[in-house]
Amino acid sequence: MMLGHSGAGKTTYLSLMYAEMQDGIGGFRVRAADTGHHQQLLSDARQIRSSRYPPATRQRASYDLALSYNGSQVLPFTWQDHRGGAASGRSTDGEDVAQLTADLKEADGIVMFVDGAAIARDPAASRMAARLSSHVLRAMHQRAEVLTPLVIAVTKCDLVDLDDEKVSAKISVPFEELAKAVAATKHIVGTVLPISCGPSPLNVVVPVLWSLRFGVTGMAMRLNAQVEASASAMNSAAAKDTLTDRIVSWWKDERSWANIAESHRQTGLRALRQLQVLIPPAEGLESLLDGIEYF
Amino acid sequence: MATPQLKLTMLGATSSGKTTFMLGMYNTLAVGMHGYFIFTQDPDQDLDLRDEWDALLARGALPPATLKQSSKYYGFVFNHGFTPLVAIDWFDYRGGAVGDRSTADDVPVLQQRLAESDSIYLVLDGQKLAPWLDGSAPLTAVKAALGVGRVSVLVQQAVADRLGKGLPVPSFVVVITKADLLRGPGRTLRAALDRVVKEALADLAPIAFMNEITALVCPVKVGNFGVRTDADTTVNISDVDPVGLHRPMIFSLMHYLSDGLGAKTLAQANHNTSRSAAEQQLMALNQGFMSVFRGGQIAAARQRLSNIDEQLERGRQEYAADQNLIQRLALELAGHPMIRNGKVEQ
Repeated sequence: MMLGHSGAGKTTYLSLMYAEMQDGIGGFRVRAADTGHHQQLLSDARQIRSSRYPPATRQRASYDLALSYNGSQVLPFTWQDHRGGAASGRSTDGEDVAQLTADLKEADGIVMFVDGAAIARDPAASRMAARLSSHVLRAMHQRAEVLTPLVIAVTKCDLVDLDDEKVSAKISVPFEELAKAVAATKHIVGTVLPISCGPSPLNVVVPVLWSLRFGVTGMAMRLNAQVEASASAMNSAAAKDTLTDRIVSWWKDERSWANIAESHRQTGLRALRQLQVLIPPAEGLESLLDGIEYF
Repeated sequence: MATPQLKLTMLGATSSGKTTFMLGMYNTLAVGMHGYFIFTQDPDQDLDLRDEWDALLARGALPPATLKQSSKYYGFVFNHGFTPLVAIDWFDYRGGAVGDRSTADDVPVLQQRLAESDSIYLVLDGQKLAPWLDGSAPLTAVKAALGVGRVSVLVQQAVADRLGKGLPVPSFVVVITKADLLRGPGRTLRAALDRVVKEALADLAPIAFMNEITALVCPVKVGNFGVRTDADTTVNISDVDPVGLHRPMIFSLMHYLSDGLGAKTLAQANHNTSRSAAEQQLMALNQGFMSVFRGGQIAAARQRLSNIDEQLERGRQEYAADQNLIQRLALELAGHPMIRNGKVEQ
């Protein structure tokens, strides 16, 4: 889920990321399930590349996308874009304000957008960016400790000199304490990424791939647990398999322990095959994101 | 472990700097300080508190008078990193009882609230203390100007009632706002604070010296704004320089956890007693010829013993975690005067 104030570049980022992922990066592609979304995102990206930026999002939008690797679908995911004002609005301003809080609580990953150029020149923008911390803290407080990737995407970095220590120090102020808190927490993994969606795009595909890496890992862990559970159930059923049981079960027209063991074996094999499919993309993502520092 | 709930009541006269203190406290901790964070359970309250603070930082606008007039509840969560330490039900009392203009309506509300409070903040206006420190006003005049006589009596009554009922007493913080004004020619903040504690506090807030009470005296400032009148609605933004605003809350939590340690020690002692009884029962079951026929009872007794051991271990871990946190919190309060059972500790 994308979290950020108006003008932070969320909608621009989404369109450009989508367009870049059409060309494929290291064998990975992202595709929208809805043809209308696909065309709209590509059209917006073309406009952005001609320096015509899309209007601010006026309502919550949800995009059903899928990550594929070398032509095979790996992970379907939903990308949520909220009206920028929702992050700084009151519950009386509209339903989308409460929806943002609810979506954050359920999000498998959060990409927090802050406008680097504005923070560098305006203390008020810095304070606005710092407000996002409360959204993240509140959402994490309301849910169980589940593995959550948090990307702090510092946008419009082509407009600032990141090599200037004073500038980069200024930009990091609003989320410095939040980043320290993430680093001290086991179940939240964070990274800070400078992003530019201008004429020389920078790190545009990294936030999505970095977040999805945890989605793929989580899915692999769930499948692995399923393989182990099926193997254990299969062994347990096989231990009860006797000739008598087979005859009695046949006579009573019931499933024998041998049938049950076979059924668990098939379930485990299906999970194993799905798990094996995930290994190459997981390795691919690891290699692509190798240099990204995280905390 | 469930997040403990703490009821906190803040009292102080109009213009004592209560609202500005709370805005500063919230906004300092909302972005994180030394790993501690605060956020409101209701996102709208976060916006209110941040908008007011932004108005101060951007335009030098002090909180509007309307904001200062009505009592208000806030629901905060105080975290260390992403770990919730305590959920705070904060009551900012701004009724007439504080200003010696108590009415039949607001006194019972305040009394009820004080009786339930785990922590009480009495906010004293540093600007009104300054003339006494300078020697230009007697303490009696300062006490009248601070307007906390009536409320001090109500707090004392509430504490005495709790003590009478054998209930734990609340922690007490004397928050001295506008601490920049405590300094004077040849007088450091430290020296001013020492003098207030030694010579004035027993008159201004006698509750701080009551038996069983642990009190913190905490100077705070939002900036170096100098002397102001009620007509001043703005300050110079370059003078904003918040100091010490998070400490009262650190103290409340520390006191709350320290009180909890007593309860935890008691619970552990009870578990130990239960363990001895369960152990003796198990030994008795294992004795004699009939023991071979008591398999079920022996298994049940072993299970009981194992459950008690688990509770003891969990209790040990929670105790150690709380102790560790108390030590960390105490570091934040180093050098601040604390009064325990009527005795001043530094």
